[in-house]
Amino acid sequence: MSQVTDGYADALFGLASAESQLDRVERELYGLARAVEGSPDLTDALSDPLLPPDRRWALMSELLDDRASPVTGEAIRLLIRMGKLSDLVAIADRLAEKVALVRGRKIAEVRSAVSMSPETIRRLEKVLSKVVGHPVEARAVIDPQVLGGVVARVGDLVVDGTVRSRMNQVRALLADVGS
Amino acid sequence: MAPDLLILAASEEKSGLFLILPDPAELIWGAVSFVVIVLLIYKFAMPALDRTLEARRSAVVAQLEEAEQAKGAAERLRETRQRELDEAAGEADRIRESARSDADVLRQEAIDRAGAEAAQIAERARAEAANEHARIREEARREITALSLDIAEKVVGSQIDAHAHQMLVDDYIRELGRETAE
Repeated sequence: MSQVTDGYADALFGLASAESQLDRVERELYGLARAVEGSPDLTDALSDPLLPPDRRWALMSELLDDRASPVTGEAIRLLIRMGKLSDLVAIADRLAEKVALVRGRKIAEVRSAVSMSPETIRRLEKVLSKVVGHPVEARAVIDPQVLGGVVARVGDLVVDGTVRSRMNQVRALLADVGS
Repeated sequence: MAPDLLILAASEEKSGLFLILPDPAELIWGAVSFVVIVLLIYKFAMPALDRTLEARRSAVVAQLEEAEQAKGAAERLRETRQRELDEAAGEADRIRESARSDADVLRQEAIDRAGAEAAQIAERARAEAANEHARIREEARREITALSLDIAEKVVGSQIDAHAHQMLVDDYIRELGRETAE
């Protein structure tokens, strides 16, 4: 984590806290970061230094929900102005960690093919807290690539129970048998 | 007219053999003169003639000896040349034989080498063909495996409904809970 990323995360933390929308802004930015992360085309476009700022904003505004906080929009504009939109994923992740830290928790990124109910997410948080030995706050990400099941990442720890990983295991097993 | 008359008178005085015989005095003087001349010749001319003849003979003998020596030298030279020619011919034969032998050895070596190279090429070609065959089989197997798994993924993905998803998540939570309990 670079100092620049940390600095921007602190700045957004202060901005959202001042507006009393820390949780909302953090979750919206986290969701935006996951959307960017899941789209290689969008990642490439945002990394293009020749892309004009207004075009960057147009791309991001398409991802922002109409009900998104104005503070979240302002945060995105700030990153565009400062030429740091390509670091959105790292900044949003760092912001989420800071927010979770304030609450005495760790962030658990939980990916599944379909959305999970709040009850399921609470159960996941509970069991993942036992696994890492620390209170955990789940961030659910919908990722059709996992096919089924769940993969959770808490810091460097990854607990993969997806159909995708099992298929990959079968693929590796067949490759080993053949070679 | 007087001499002619004397001769006529003399001829009229002699006849027969006396007609061709000289006068005895003339004969005696002639004989004496002859002897004197012979003695002079024998005394003075013959030694010079002998010396000349001896010199000529010595020169001829010397020339003959020289010619004989030259002939001997020429014969020896010829024999030397002949011997050298014979030796050269022998050497040439030996060189030819050696060259033929070397050529045979080189030819055999070339044949052996070509045979070995041909065998290596054939072996390499067989190995490459076998490797290529194995590679193609392995590639085909991988592609078939990948295709099968892609199809399986699609089938699995389409078969997992909301209920199946929930079951998978529940299994995941249950499995994690069991591991932490242990």
